[in-house]
Amino acid sequence: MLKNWMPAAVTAAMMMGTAAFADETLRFATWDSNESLEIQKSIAKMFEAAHPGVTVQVESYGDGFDTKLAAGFGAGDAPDVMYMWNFPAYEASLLPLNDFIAGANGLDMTDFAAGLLPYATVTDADGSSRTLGIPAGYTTFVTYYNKDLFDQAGVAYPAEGWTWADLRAAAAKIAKPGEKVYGYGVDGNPDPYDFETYLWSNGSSWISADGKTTTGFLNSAATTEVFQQFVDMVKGGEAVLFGVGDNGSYRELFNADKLGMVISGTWPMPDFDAAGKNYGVVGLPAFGDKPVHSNVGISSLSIAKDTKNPDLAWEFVKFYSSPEAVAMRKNDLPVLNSVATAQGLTGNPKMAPFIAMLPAADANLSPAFLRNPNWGRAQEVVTEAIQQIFIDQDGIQAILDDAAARADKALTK
Amino acid sequence: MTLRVAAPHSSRRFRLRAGAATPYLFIAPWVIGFVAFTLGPLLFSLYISFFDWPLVGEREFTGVQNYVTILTDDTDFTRSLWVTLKFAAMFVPANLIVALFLAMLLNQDIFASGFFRAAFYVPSIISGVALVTIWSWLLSHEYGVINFMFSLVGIPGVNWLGSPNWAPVSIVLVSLWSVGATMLIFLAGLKGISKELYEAASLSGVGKIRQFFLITLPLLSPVLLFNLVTTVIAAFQQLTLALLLTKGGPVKSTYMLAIYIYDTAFKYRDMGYAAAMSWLMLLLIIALTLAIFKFSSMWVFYETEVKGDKA
Repeated sequence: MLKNWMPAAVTAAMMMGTAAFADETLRFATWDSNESLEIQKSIAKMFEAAHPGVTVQVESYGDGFDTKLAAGFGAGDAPDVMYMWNFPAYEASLLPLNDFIAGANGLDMTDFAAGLLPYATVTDADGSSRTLGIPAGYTTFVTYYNKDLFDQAGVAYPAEGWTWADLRAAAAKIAKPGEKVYGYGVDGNPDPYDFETYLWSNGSSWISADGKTTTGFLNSAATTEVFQQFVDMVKGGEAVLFGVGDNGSYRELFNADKLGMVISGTWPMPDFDAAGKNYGVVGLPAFGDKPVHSNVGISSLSIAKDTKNPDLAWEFVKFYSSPEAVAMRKNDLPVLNSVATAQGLTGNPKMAPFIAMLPAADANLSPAFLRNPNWGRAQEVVTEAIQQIFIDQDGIQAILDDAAARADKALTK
Repeated sequence: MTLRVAAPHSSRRFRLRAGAATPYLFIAPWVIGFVAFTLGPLLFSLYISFFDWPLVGEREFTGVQNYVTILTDDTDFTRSLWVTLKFAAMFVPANLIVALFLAMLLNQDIFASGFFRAAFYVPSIISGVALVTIWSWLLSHEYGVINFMFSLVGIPGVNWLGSPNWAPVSIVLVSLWSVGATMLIFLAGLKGISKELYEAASLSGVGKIRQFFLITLPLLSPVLLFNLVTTVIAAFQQLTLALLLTKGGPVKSTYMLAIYIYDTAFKYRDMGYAAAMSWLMLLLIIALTLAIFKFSSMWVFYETEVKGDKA
């Protein structure tokens, strides 16, 4: 498929007459590493081929992405184009893209998967909104299950529309505590951003819609219920707790046939495939009859406000969301509906659940960091509270009440 | 005549000036490095500590507001300071005792003492990151070697890094791996104590343990003072181990002041506030050091003083 796209892309880009960008260097920073970084480099090479004279300098910041990027902005030495997810934290340094999108060299946004764009948009005090990034790849959350363990326990594979009660029943049958085989893996130290998926699905959230308070949300009955369920699963032996003081990850457990089910994004898939696991993918379970929601992890591309060459930077960002570039990304999901269709993802049983989990654009569901620019500090409090809950496995309401009070204070810092 | 005098005179003056400049040229690389990368940033951090100084966005002069907030209205600061103090209370004695114990073992005339000296020092030159990786495997709750060995003798394993009670202890344990420098300084001090004193004591029937308290400790006290001060400073600056081994957790049980400062600067990008906390930490370390020196006259014993008294 790639081979089919490539010549067409190059020809199309050549025909656009890009001689204006001769002998320019464009700096592009990414948090990707390993195979994902190689994909970024190939896309950059393709861009260079289509724009003679332009050099794209791909800068891989890896785990230190945030620190290096912040330092780059602080020192007035930021890259022209960069990966971005935390828009509220960087909005002052990013170039609004509204005019580019609507301009002569614009971008048709209708092909983008629904629900992605709100993550890259900030709303200002006067009610106007700025689009600060163009999505390049994303993942939703799904359930991975080990078919061999299901077969051994004589349990039917999970089906779409299932509930946590179904998951717990299956986990209880699969678990063999004596052999250290567990039905489900609970992350005892999750990223609160990912964890909010469960809160949404149980009708709660970390923070109010106006972003002003966590009281009544972080410590609501629905939030407590979610934690209580996970604690009960661990206590009852259905689930194993990972991420608390152990470097053994759920991926190792899953690959060693010690874990029946785990919830994650696209990230572990290459690992499971490399280990030759016989696994299936199904959507997230529901809390009773409540609607299921998944958070979305999105890599967007943004342009620095101070770039010397905004037109070339835009050309690059646009190229990144072109069908041929999107089709090259193998480690996450295509942001363009047309590419997802062309790749037959909706008919692929391992990929369709990811796309089915993509929420419709819904203003009631936006992650906490989009609702308050100071969320970073409050999130520290939440992280600590989650750790406390899974270590104590008791007194959940009191821990959450205390956390809500402290998180509210952190929001005003 | 005047010409003959003038010429060598001026050239000698030139030579003198060139000669006088030479030492400064030699130390110039260090001085330039110090000014550019230590003194400069140091003074700059004092300057920005009086500002609301985000990495990105507008900077605003706020006077002593940062300091006031830290001291009156920042529970994270007091908590992380308390964690640091508790850590220091374990780290300092543990390091000094282990270093002194190893130094005393090495101070004996035994076979291949040079080899052991090197062997005990080697862990100190391992980089902190490698050290942390190794220890995180050893201390793993379910798969760690340490808990496995405990299980062989029937002792239930401890969740070293996953329990808020044990995590600080684990960091102290790991820090003991780098005790080599302190140990060498103790060893040098021990070598300086005359053997005759011990021989005389033995002849008078003084036992080994009393010899330690009556001869070794008093004569080693200046060295002990030095090691105490440097170890206290090291305790307050502890960052690498806690940051990498436990990330300040679980439940912030190892969230030390240095991590809070690091997070404030590089995670929350609040440079002014972080700089203000750094200066408070410096003041605290200075105050502690001065206190140690003040009380040191009560227990530190200098040989020169004795000689002076006798004369």
